[in-house]
Amino acid sequence: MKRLTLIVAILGASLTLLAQTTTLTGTVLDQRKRPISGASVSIKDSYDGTSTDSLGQFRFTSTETGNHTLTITYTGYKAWEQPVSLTGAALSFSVQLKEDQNELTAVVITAGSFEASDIKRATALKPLDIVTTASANADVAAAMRTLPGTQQVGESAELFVRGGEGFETRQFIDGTTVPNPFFGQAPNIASRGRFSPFLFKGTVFSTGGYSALYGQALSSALILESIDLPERSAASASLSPIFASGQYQHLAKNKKSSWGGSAGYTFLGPYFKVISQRPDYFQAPQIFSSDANFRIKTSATGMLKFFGSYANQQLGLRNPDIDQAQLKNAFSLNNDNIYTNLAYRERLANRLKLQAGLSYALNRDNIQQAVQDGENKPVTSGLPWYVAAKNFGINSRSTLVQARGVLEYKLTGLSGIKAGAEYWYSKDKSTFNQLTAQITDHYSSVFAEADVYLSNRLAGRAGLRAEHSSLLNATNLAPRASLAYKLGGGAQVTADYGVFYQKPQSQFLLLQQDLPQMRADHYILTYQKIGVNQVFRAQLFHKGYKQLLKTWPDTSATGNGYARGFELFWRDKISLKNFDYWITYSYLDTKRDYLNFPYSMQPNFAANHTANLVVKRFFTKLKTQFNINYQFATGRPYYNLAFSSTEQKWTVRDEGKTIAFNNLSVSMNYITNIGKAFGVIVFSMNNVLNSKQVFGYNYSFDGSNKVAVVPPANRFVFLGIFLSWGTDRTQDAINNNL
Amino acid sequence: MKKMLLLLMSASLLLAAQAQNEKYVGYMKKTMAQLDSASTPDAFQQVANSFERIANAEKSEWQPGYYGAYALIMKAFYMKELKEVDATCDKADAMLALSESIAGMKNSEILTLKAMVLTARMRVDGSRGMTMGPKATQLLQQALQGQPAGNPRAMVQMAQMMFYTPAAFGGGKDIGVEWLKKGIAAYESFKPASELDPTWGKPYAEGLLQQWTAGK
Repeated sequence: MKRLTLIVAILGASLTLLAQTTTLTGTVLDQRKRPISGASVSIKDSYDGTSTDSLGQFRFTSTETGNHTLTITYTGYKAWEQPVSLTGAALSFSVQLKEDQNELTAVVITAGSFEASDIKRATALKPLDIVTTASANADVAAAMRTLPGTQQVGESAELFVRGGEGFETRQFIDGTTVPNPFFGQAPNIASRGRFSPFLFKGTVFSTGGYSALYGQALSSALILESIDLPERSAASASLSPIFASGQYQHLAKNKKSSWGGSAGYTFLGPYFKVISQRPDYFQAPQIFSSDANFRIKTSATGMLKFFGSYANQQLGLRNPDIDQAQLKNAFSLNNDNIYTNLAYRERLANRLKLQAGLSYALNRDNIQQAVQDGENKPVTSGLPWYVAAKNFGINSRSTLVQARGVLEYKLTGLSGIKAGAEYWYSKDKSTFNQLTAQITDHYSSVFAEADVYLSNRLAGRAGLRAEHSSLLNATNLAPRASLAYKLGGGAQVTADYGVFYQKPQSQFLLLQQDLPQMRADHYILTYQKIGVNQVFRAQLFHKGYKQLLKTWPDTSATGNGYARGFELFWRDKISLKNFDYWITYSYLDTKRDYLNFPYSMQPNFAANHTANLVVKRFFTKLKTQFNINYQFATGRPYYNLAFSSTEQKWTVRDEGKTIAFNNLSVSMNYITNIGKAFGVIVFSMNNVLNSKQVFGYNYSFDGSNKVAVVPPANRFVFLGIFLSWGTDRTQDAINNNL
Repeated sequence: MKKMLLLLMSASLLLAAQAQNEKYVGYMKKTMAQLDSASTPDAFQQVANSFERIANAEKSEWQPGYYGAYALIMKAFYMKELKEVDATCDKADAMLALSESIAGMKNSEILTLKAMVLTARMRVDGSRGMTMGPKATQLLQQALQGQPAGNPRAMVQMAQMMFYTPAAFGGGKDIGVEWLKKGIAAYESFKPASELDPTWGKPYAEGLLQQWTAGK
């Protein structure tokens, strides 16, 4: 027993002996030698440690002995570690922490584009913003028209960006292009986008200098990313005097898959009876639309998504004939459109990701135009040739099949490489009166892009895209490059350069194929400062056009042009309490010599100055959000181009500038409960001030009659209700728990 | 002798384990007291650092990570610089993930904090409420299901969720007050499983009730 006490005593003594203490002191600074306060300093795997004070200094004692590791960590910085030997002798450290590269603090490469999603924090427009922009009526492209770089082209639904024509902006869904993103259009009357903003969780709107992953757009790319699994199963319905639709989304119990679909019917007949339209509609626009989707979480990191839609659209309207006052032109359109998209993504290995997509699209147009007399009877004989030419019929059918794959390999930090390939098979067939033409193209491209973060402040991107079109028998190389430098305080400057190619539009290719791709070279300089609830951006750009299509004297690729200007954007969500507003200004100087232009001229879709003011406010007590949007643009040029038989060339017979464009839109969203449904009642009206809007002029053949192109009605008014029923009974469950 | 040695060895081992546990409990209690008295973002950061050290040393205890995350959430609520809220919340989420890997996915207290992280993130941008609000509500529901005896902290969080959610979205002040009362009642009967398990929040809930029902 004695021995035992002895052993215990020795054991106890040795324990006390071991309890020597070492004092550790030091200073923790950042790379610019400013103190970091609140950093955690510790002996790894022990309790010993402390936090730095406001001067970045620390001091603590440790009872540990022997070899250990001293660790210093702080949010936003790389952890610092150093082996230490604790012997009782005081230790002192002077440490500089390196900033950690992460998406929040690092310089952003794609500063030229407007990103909109809930995930990325430095965003300009979120999906909800699209729905609550007064002038947009929940149309994605129309909401983008409140951003700088876009033109107010009231007679078209397309996006005209930085001196580019509407077709120069291309839309992509999950990587694959959407060949017909808008509903069919009657001459000079804007239609709408086919897809609801609620289908997408993220939007990137690039007004120039976009990534080498995308191609076939001379000016701009609108890149949409579809939503993954819905939060819950839900049914929804919307009702308005012009449309009715229903939708259902089902989320599986294990939350690993979902399916859903919707159907809708739009008919403007009753609306046109109440609010008179300038054209005489013998078939008010009518659209039947439907879509279906499924989404499957194939693994922890894998996702397979399908979206398919079908729509049929019909419309018919009469306008007075511009050449002979007693005659009319009756235009009718019947359009069928199918769009499908299958997208797959998976992480193949630790740093390697795959994104793949398959898409099929079909668009069929049947357009008829007839010259009619006062009794709406067709007139086919006794007409001068230029009036007789207005009796025509077009039947066209275009198919596009796409396959695409992109591999992404992450290097250290945020740096990474993306490489991929895509293939488009397109077939266009068009019958004009009795003449039929058909073209088939195999377009393929390979592309690669590297993001290199040289530091947290400096990053570069270099990309290359090679494209080949079998129809044009043309191969093109399109380099892209960006350099971004962070100035501090959320500010950064970016320089972008890129070459962009696009095939001539199919209406020209149907007639002639030995044409090269059109080309645009972009140079963009951006300054932006992003705070939590404030964004400021200034951009300077130059765009050079080459190989544009000329239709006279021959169809050739000898056209050219330029666009340059600067743009300002300011969004602020905090300065005015409860208000969210943004202001944009765009200056554009552009000229081009293309189609039948006799020389280089400012095209009729380009205004020199464009401005936007968007204001939103939610009134909690009224449960209503009020939105206002004011759009302004200086007048656009218009021309009467006529072929002079004496000079044997196209001449400008008349030209001028339209009056300035003014449009004040308001909308209100009232949130309520109707029975078990959550409801939003939406009211919107554009051109509240009833400003006169002129988009250009049409001329008679002899030039004596000049008719303004104006909207079909001065105002558009919308009233609708949107209802949704969640079927997982979350709310019931909450209330039952009480 | 052999038997004796064996006895001695196991006794000292037991002693060491006992000492280690006492050290752990002692440190935890000391740091929890610091947490109780903290009231500035800097103070909360310091307490969070202390809990993080304990969490790194005690890889089988879920409480250090839990309290560390709680301290960071409080920092996120108190800090003036909105642009750092998300980074702080990211750290809190990481500590909760660590804590959850020890305690299991159904720990009611951890689920409650996960909902609080989302509430803190909503400070940055009110429009996040549209997506984060329902997620937070869902987490609180799981927290309530995970503790049938009643988790007062989850109830008080639910009360605040409901109080600030417009009636049109299924919330409302009356529902909020009801939840709060239910939460305060639950504090009376709540018994922590161990002395290190969370018990915080009662005075705050009572103060909140006074504030909400004042003038009624």
